[in-house]
Parts: sequence; structure tokens; C-alpha cells
Amino acid sequence: MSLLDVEDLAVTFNTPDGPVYAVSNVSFSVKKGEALGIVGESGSGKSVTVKSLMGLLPRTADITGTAEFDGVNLFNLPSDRKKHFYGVDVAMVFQNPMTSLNPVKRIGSQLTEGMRYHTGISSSDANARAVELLDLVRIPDASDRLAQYPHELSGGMRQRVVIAMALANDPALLIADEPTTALDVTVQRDILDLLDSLRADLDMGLVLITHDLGVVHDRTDNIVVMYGGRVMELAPTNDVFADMEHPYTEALYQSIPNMSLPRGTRLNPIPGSPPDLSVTPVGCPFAPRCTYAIDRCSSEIPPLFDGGARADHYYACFVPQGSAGES
Amino acid sequence: MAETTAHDIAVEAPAEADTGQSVSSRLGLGFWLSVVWLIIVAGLALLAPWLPIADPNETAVGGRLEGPRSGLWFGSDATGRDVFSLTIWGARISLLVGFIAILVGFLVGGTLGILSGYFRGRFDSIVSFIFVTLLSFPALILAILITTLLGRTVFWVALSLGILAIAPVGRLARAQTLVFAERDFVTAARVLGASHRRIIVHELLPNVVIPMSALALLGMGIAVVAEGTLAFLGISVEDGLSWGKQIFLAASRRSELQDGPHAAFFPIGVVFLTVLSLNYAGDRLREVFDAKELVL
Repeated sequence: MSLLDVEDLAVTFNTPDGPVYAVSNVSFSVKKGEALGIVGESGSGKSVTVKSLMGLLPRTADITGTAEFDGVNLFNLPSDRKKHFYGVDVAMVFQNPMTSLNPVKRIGSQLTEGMRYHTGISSSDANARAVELLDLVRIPDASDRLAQYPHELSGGMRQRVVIAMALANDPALLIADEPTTALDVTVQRDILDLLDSLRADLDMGLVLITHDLGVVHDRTDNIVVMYGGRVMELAPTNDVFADMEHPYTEALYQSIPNMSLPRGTRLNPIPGSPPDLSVTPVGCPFAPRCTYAIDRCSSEIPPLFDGGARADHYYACFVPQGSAGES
Repeated sequence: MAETTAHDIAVEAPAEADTGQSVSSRLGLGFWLSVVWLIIVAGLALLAPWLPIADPNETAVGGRLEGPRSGLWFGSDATGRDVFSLTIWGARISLLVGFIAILVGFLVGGTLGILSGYFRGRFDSIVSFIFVTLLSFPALILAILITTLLGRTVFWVALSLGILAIAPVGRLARAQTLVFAERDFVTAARVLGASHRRIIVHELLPNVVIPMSALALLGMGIAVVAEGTLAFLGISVEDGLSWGKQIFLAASRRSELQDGPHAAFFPIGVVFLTVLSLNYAGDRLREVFDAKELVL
């Protein structure tokens, strides 16, 4: 059974210069204990998608569609449920650990605050739980850390603390918005592995947002590839890497530096720049940058086709490049 | 990634600096000397009615413009009043005016600044406009206007100075709030279901209070001097002698200033040391806690 079911999500920002179509027709689902990767470049709508789920969008945002968590629509959650929904059922890890901890408060009080607010446990129980959480995210000398301030920890340690804070109330779903983008390369892998093992150990759903296909490769069960606020491809991770249908997924994959290629091989960046979302879309948003585009691509928005080698492999393209295109 | 690395290098130094020493030793000797002086002055002022000193209103305690001697440490003024006693009683008024002024500035300016920095939008535009208006209004004229219209009691004099403090305090509070309100820890608190009130009080206030407390000390020094200016213009507190009024009286006639400069110079020295201490302590506080701020 699905933990989170997003159907036809669309977010439009009403700006003084007219509407901006940040996200359109996005659907995906996350099951318990499963990881979903949302991949896309800047401006692809991946952050707006999760912000809409977390209720973090400004009032100028017009949200349509449904997002059901355990059968409850998040977009018309009664306010008394809302209070104990975020941070308990769904928690979030932010991109930059430099700014996601309060610089003037000790680690211990930041960790216990959420617990005490939501569950009202005693301060000694909360402290014990805080130590347990720091152990869980593999921070050494956990009990000594409670009295420390964020500036006494390194970036990777801070991100572990942020993850520990998110786990405080045993969330069923953890959303991580580019959790490693602000970290050193050597630390990135540790944090991703940590998230992966926490997901398995705690049997949570995990939504991992990233711009790096390499990050989601062996750590997710499903992938959503987004571009221009739309879903380009949605499929089980293995299928995506075995059989890329959408030219954008392929282009994104080819732009990853590959160590096994001979020296002097040039990178394969995607030409052009992301679309202007304030223009009412008429065709595939990727069409202007796509090497395979046909006339139909710029006059008609491709729907999500179910195809490819296996079921559950969806792609929004008239000229699929994988096995679906061959048949 | 490069951005993060540069950031890390820039912030590493203060992080090391503050693990080596305790906060009190980093504040330095000057800070603690300032604090001791302020405690002495404030303590004497508070305890004035119970101290074995002459009644400040009693004339002919010493001779006319008598120099300092044992038992009459600061000498006496033109009417034979004890200058030491006058200075202590003057501290009661001057410090009270300075304290109330900065309190008003903080409560009103600080609250408005934090709220406007947090909520932004139209409220922010209105508050910012009020701040700019207050800043563009000639300070002295405003103070004269209030004290003339409403009376020259300690409260109204302090309030008029407090109103002048609203805009600078409020702008600092707003700027600090803007910096921190965008940080992810505020978003994280919001995700956790925290109310606006909780975010402002628990997340933002502790961050905003540090630079503000340094400004409070500086501001109090400014208010004490400003009260002296008002006294010199003859529009400060009517009953009782503040430091400003005491100096004004002792220095208003040139012959008296020539014959007995001590009557003016002792209170001037006390004002000087007190304001210096306030400024120095405020500066040190800001420097030491700014370093911690940078580490973020």
C-alpha cells in the first residue's frame, strides 16, 4: 500500500508579471520502506513539488491536484491535524546544514525541541532519546555532543544532526531536499549511505531530491525525472538505467563525468538553457534542446505513455529512445 | 562545492580561537574594569538615600566653591553643596533616564523591527517608513517638542529620548531578523509545526538579542549624554539635579568655572568614565559574540 500518493499535482505562482507554471501534471507514489528519487536540474520544479507537500509554499502559490498520505489529502488537512502531522508523520532534511541549525542553541536543545513539542515527554527522557538519535546517525561521543553548539561541528556532522532531528518523532516518510549538495564530496557518500540504511532499518519511505542521477542510482527503488515542471520519465530505478526512454534522461545521464572514459574525452553537456516557465506551455518543455525533436514535440504536450520493456515505466515523449521506440 | 570550502576556511579561525579560552577571559580586562565601574556607579545611585552622605539640597555643607578635602571629596559648589553627594544623586536621574530611554527604544523599536523583518509585506513597508521618518526628524527638535508639551519629568524626558532610539534599534532588529528568517532552521521549525510566535521567540530572538544587547549599552551611553545636552538647553528634568544639569549649573557662569572648576569637572569626569565604560563594554560584547556569529 502506498504511503504517499501524488496525483496530477500542479503549482502555479501568481506573480505581478502573470502566472508562472512551476509544476504541472506531476504524479508519483512512495511505498513504505521504499526510496523515490526526484531528479532534475535547477528550475525543474523538484523543490516546489516537495515544498507544496510540506505546506511551505507562499500564499501566492495556487496548488491543484491531490497528495494523499495514508489516505488523507495533504492539501486540505484540518489545521489541528497539520500541527502534529509535519515533523511527526513526515519530516524533512534540508539542503544546507550550515543554515538549518540555529547557531545560538545547543545541539541537545535543538534535538529535543521537536520531540517535547509534539509528544510532551520529560526532559530527561528527551535527552536520552537525543543521545539515541545521535548514535543512530553514527555521531561518535553522542552524549558529549548535546552541550555543543553547531559551530563546533563539521559540515557532515551538522547534516547528521539535522537528520537526527528529522528522525526524532519516528516519521513514516522522510523528505531529503538535496541533502548532500552543500557538503564535501568525500562526506556526500557517507550521508547518502546513512540515509539509505536508516530507510531500511526504520522501514520509512524516503524521497531523495537531487540533480545528480549518480546519487539515486543504487539508493532508490523508483525515479522521477523532472524537467520544466513536468514529469519526463517515471520508472523503477533499474529500468531507467537499463532502458532510458526519454531523451532528457539520456542527456542528463551522458552529462555525468565518467572516470572510465579515456583521458581527454569531453563532457557532454545539454545545450541550451531551461525553459521560461512564465510562458504558457504548448509543447514538450525539452523540445527546444532535444536532438530528436520532431514537429509534433513543439505543438503538442506529450502525455505520460506507459511502455518500455516493463510495465510501470512511464515516459512523456513522442520519440522514445529506449526499447519502446524500437517496437 | 567550492563555495562551501571557502566558507569553511573563512570560519575556521574564530572557531579555534574560542575553544582555547573561556568567554570571560576573551572579553578582556578592560571589559571587566568597565563593568566594575558601572556596578559601583549604579550601586551608589541605588543606595543614595541610605548612604552616609550629605543631603544634596543642603547648602553651606562646605564653603563657597571649596576645593576637595577629606570629608568633602569632590569639594563644594557655589552654594556650598557637596559635589560628591550631588554627583551620586545626579546618577539616579541620569542613569534612570538612560535606562528608561533605551528600554522604550528596545521594547518598541525591537518589537516592530523583528515583526516587520519576519512578516515582511505591507506591515514591513509601513514600519520602515515610520523608522525613516523618525530618523529624518531633527532629534533635538523632537525632544524639545515632547518635553515642552508634556512636561519635564523623568518619565517624559526619558520617553522623548526613547522615541529617538526606536528607529536605530528597530532597523538593527529588522536587519538581523531578515538575515535569520531566511535560514533553513526557521523553515525547519515551521515544518515541525511551530507557530509564528514560537519561531520568533525561540528561534529568532536569541539570534537577534546578541547584537542588540551590545547596542543597548552603547545606546544607554548616548542617552546619558543626550540628557546632558537637554539639561544644557534647560529643558531636562525639572526637579532634581541630573548630571547634565549639575554640570550646566557649575559651568554656566564663567567666573565660577574659573574659581572652582572642580564643581563641574568632577561630575564631567564621572559622566566621561560611565559613558566610556558603557561604550567599551558594548563594543567588547559585540566583538566577542560576533566572532561566534561568523562561525555559522
